[in-house]
Amino acid sequence: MIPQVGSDPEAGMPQQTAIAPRPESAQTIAQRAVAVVPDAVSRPVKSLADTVWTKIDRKATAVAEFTIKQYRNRMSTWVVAGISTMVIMLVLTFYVDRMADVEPAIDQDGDGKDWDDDGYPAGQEWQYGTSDRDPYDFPGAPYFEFEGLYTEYTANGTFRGSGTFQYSWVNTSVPPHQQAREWLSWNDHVVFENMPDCPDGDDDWVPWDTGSCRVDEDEIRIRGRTVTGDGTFTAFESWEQFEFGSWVDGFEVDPEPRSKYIDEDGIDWDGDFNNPNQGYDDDGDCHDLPVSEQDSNGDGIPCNVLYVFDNGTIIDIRPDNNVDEDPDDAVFMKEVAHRSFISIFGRVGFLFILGIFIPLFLASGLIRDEFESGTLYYLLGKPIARAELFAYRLLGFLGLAWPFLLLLILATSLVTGFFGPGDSLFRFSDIAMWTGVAVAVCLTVLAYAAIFATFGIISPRYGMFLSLIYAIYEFVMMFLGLFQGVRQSGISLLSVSYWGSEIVNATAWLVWTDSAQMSEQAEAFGWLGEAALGAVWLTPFPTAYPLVNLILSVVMLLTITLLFIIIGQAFFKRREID
Amino acid sequence: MIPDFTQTGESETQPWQAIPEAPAVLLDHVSKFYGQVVGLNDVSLAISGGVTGVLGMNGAGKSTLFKIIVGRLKPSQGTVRLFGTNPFVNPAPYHRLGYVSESEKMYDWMTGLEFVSTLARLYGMTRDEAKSEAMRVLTFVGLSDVVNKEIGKYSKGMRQRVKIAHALVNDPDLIILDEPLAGCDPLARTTIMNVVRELGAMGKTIIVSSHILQEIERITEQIVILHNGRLLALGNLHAIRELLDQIPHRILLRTPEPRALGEVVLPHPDVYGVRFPNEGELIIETNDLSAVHADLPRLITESGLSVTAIENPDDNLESLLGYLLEGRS
Repeated sequence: MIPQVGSDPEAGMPQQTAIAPRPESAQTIAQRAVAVVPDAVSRPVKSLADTVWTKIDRKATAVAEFTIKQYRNRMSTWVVAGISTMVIMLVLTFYVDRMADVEPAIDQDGDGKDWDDDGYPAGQEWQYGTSDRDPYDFPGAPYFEFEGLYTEYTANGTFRGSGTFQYSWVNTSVPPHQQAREWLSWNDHVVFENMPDCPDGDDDWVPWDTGSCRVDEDEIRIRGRTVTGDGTFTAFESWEQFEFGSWVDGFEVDPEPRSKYIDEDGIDWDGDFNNPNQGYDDDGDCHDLPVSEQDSNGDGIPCNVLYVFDNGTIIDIRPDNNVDEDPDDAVFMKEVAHRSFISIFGRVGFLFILGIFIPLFLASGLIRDEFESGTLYYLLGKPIARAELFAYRLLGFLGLAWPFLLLLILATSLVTGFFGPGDSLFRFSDIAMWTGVAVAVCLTVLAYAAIFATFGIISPRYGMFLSLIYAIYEFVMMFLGLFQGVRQSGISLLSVSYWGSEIVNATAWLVWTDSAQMSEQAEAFGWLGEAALGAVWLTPFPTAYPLVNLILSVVMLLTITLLFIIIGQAFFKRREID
Repeated sequence: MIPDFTQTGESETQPWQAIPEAPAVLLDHVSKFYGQVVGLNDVSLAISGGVTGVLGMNGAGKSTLFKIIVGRLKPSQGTVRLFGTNPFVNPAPYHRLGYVSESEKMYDWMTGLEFVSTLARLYGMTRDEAKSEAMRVLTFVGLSDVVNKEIGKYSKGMRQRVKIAHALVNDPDLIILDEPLAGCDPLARTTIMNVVRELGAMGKTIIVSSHILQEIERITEQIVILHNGRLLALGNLHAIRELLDQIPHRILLRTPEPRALGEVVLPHPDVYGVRFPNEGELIIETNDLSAVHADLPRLITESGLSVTAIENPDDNLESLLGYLLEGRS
């Protein structure tokens, strides 16, 4: 036993004359050494029992604070932060530009077109029952109401055809649009102004260009024209009949703007996944159809849209003719672009690009750099366990990376919130989605940081190389994960990126519940955007329930982090600090 | 009989308990191999209290010994105890340890105050405690006027003193200084040596290494000599010196007339030979250095010969080691 210190207060400095080239045993040396200055050990010592387990928070903040300060003094930190910010800003510029673009509205049912150039869009002509192909047949236009066919007739009315008209009164005012015409037709009234006289001798000759000529003061000859007046109309030949009827005067109808007939029949959906009877014929063009054509989807309800559900999901949408056929595609396309942007940018931009690169460049060296620079022992030569130090260093990294990434996400969410589609000033509905992205990014960065830092511990020399290879692996997994088949095969489950992206995906399912419907509608009503929507969400995997996947992903990412911290500290603990 | 290492009980995994009767440093048959190279060869040692100088040539294993003591390295064989605890496994005894490594590497971007106070917080001090403690130790090593300067702008001596300050901030019982004087200018050496002596006077256990005998001599009398990883000698420097005096020794005199001077000193009873290695040089061979040195001034004065220098070429670590090694063989 080593002698009790202080048992011999008179010991003082012992005579040390002998040189001991080879000490006999540690014990004798210990005895001698202890005896040299006996009071050194007998002094009351500090209470040490509480040094390891208490004050942990002090040490944690000290190490984390130190780590952040260290980052602040490194060029690489600023380069990484600068490049990240620039990338995000560049992408946001594209986004804002896309949202500021005025989407050319698509007129799916073609009723916004003015085929006959009479100033009235087809939709308006249909409502008035006029022809969309005849420029003289338009809403409010005067028209001829047929009464009968004759070879000779005396009445006050409108005569149409070829013959001689002897009148007591005649309507010489001609609708203005008929005067400008180059080729006149039966429908057109004769023009009295500058009417040429009929040549003598030839009883039924009429000049082609005017279609009419004057015989006498109260008699004119017309060929293939219309005239309104009171008198007797006699056909040139007995077999050549003319029409008699009455002329209904025109009335003023303001042409409606074409835009009224574009995007005028939107998708009407009450959000009820148990109600198959959806849709409303906003513009009434279904109800204008013959009754036999009003129920083309055969569900027994005229002018509706049949939604087919399977277990609460829309699997098919079958509209009747002319129902919901011209929705506002610009709104739809913008919404799709917006959602795709958040989903893809959240997943690829934040999760993969920043999520991998920031830890790769900043976390790989958490322990390794201290190794390399030979300063590690300043931190380790303190009453602090190595596992603790490793965890606190990670904490310091997070103290820098999380606020930075959250700031970028916040900036992005503000930009997309204000510039995104919608009537409100700010898209509050996206906040939940961005929260999902933020959670995914934070946890992914944490997991990558633990992995890369552990690689740095396992091999200070080849740690960066290992980390790069792993980052490439994650990239490949991310790429493969975009394919539905690979996702479903479960190969992607072996990557951190998968679990991060599944958080975003699950959040998209939970927040944008109408995305599936939008996707189906895109297909049913036949426009683009379906493909873009496909990127918004992928089929939930490994389970079919987004909420379960969300929780599972969070647990998985934390587990991976913890696993690598355990591996890292196990290597760290055995490492000699030369 | 093997030392009672079990005195630490289960404490290697339990929260650490102070073991008052355990020596500050205890090594039992400790060896360290770097592949084929032997860093430390079967060293047994216990140190408690006082200032101990570890002497050894470059590569003798001084730094390896220290790194094993502070738990940076794991011994290949044998047992190490720092205050009765295995330092490689349990960092708890670091609470009583201050260690200044030989490494020049520091966080150059920090100020002296930041460096010391940040590391002080790893002992569980609060921010304010750490700052005031850091100021205290920085003032103690004489750096109070440059605490807010970046370490990168410090001179070598100042860097060394910051390292010492950082090792003192936890008011340790054991202070280990690995080559604290290396590369310092004379002024810095004096300051650092004063600091070490002062610490010794405060009753701390101090272990300081050097490869220069004179440096150690000015700090302490208690020395450990390492050579090729082996513990060569352990004890009081004066005792070793006295032993040295009894062995064949040489005194080098520089004089224009070495042969005339040789005739003067040769009759002295303790001088058994003279040699003339070079022009203007005389070497006196003696068995009793002190006796010759006592009479030499009188003999030279009486002869009236001029002497420009008196040197003891053997008064260095190499000679000491040479003798010790000879004695062993």
